Amino acid sequence: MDFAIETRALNKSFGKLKAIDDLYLAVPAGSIFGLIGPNGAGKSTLIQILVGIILPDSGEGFILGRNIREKDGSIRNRVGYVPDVPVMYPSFSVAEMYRLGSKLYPFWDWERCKQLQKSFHLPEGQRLCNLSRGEKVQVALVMALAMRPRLLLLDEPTAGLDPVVRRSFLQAIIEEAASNGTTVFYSSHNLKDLEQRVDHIAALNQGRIMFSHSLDELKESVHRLQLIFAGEPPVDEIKSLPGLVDWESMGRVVIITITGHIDYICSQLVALNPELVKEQNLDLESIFVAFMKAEGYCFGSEGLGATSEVMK
Amino acid sequence: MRVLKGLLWKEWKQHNRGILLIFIIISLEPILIPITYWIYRTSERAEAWSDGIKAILTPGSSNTEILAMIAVVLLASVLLVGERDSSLNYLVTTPVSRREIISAKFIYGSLVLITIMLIISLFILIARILFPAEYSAQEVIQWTIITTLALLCMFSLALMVASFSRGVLSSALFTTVIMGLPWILVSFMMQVFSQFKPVSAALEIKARYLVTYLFIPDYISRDGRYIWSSNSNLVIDRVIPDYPLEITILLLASFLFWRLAIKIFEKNPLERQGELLLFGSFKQNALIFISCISAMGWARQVASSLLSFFAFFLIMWLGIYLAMLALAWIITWFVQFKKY
Repeated sequence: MDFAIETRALNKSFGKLKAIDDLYLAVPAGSIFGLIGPNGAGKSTLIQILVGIILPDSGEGFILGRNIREKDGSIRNRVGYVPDVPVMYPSFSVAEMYRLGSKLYPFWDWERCKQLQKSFHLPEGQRLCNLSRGEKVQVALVMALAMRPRLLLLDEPTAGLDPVVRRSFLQAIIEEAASNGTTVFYSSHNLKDLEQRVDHIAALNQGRIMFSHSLDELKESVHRLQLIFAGEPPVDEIKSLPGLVDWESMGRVVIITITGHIDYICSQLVALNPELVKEQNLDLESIFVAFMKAEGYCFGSEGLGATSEVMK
Repeated sequence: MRVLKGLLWKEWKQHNRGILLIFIIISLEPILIPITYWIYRTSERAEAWSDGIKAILTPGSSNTEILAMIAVVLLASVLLVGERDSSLNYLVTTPVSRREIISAKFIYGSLVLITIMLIISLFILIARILFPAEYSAQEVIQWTIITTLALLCMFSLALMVASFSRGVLSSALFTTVIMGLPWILVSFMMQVFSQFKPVSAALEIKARYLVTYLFIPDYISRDGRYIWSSNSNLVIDRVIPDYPLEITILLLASFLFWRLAIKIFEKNPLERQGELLLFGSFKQNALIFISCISAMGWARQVASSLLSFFAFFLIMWLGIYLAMLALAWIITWFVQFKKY
């Protein structure tokens, strides 16, 4: 399989803080790959390493088959980058930014640029310093798409965009991926957006990958089951279930989040003798929250219920 | 080449107003004041308009030269450090290598310098043909070549310092310190040696001769080319200008600083702003530097011989450094303590 992004034992520290910790990641070429993780997980650092802003301490990284340590700028000829807060040249007008893009990117497509510019209704003569954050993100996206990318790195770009703009932004990305086979590496906190659009997903926590799967694989491998017992639930046995990520108990009802093949899980549950086993719908957000709880991520007790427990 | 053109265009778009301001400041004495003089004519002497220009061309620091030196150091700092906290993070994500980024800035700054100096010298030369003047064409050509090259050398040194500095002013200040270091060190060493051992005039001349070639501003002001005795106010020698040697040194130094700037900038993790990246922590280096200078001064006061000077110097350097380190630690602890 071809990978658009690959990292091997990548490390980056800021003083004593380990932002990226021995990271192995492979992003299949042509995929729309979502990257999720709590604040400070290292998502932005990883993207900034891939795009050349930050140099890694050790390990290897490859984008479009080329080593990120290569000093030659041509490694980024077909790599578009849209950060959460685009910082370009505040004194430049939108048109001047496009002109700069056309001078720096060898595959710059003016026709595509004009077409995108038109669909986003951006004021061409306006200086960047006078644009809103959302407009700046759109300018960055127009530039990232007009250079005919093979890889798009998006670092929480839709945070703070209004719903209409967010939708057209995401639409433009999906169209790009669908029509040109561009790999999209998309970091976001908006798991609903990701769930609807990505085909692969990875979760990052404390600079390490918690899981990395195709979305279908992930959904097939993680289950939320509601178990109803006739009497007191066998808590100790439940806690020792292999693959258990999270559990909550409400009287005779126990809800577990568990990884593994459903047939195997059911065979394990038979021994606990529940009256009823019912599979609940599990969206990406629930999966993520369950994994984060398992990792010991801090939550307020209000949102979880008194009986919830974190499994390590 | 395409990328370089793009980067040069960007630099021009970004800094054209600043460049115009630099041009106005530098051309004040050699162009604007003579023009004003021709308009208002305040002296009977026909050559009076060229007094300012004559002052620039003769040895000694002129306002124009001082302003040009300040402008050049600031220009390099603004070109690179000015982008550090903002647009540089964008630029490194484009298909541009760090070598191309810093080279474009070097080429742009050099072109600006050469253009400004050419305009000024052409004006001075043409004005001399049209009006009676107190200077010769040869003086103008010599001054133009040496001053341009010295400014270029200063610019590349400032660019090198900017490649690992954060603030524009701190970068400019650090450049000034580095530039002055040969002069400070040699003068200090001469004073130390002469305190404990009689220094021969020949050795003193040699040392000062060396400084004239290591202290870049002296290529422009040419003050140091007149060597004064440290014990009296007499000129004891004069360095005869060796223009081919000066040109070679300045060109080589410019090239060396530019190459170093590229090397440092290529290894510069942009998130570690404000640190002396080559040598670790900025605070640490500042403490080492300050303690070294203080130790030198104190050791000189208490030492009775050259040997004891070096012994005192080493002990005091270590002592002052450790004391400052402890003080910095206490201050940090106190600030943290107050925070919580």
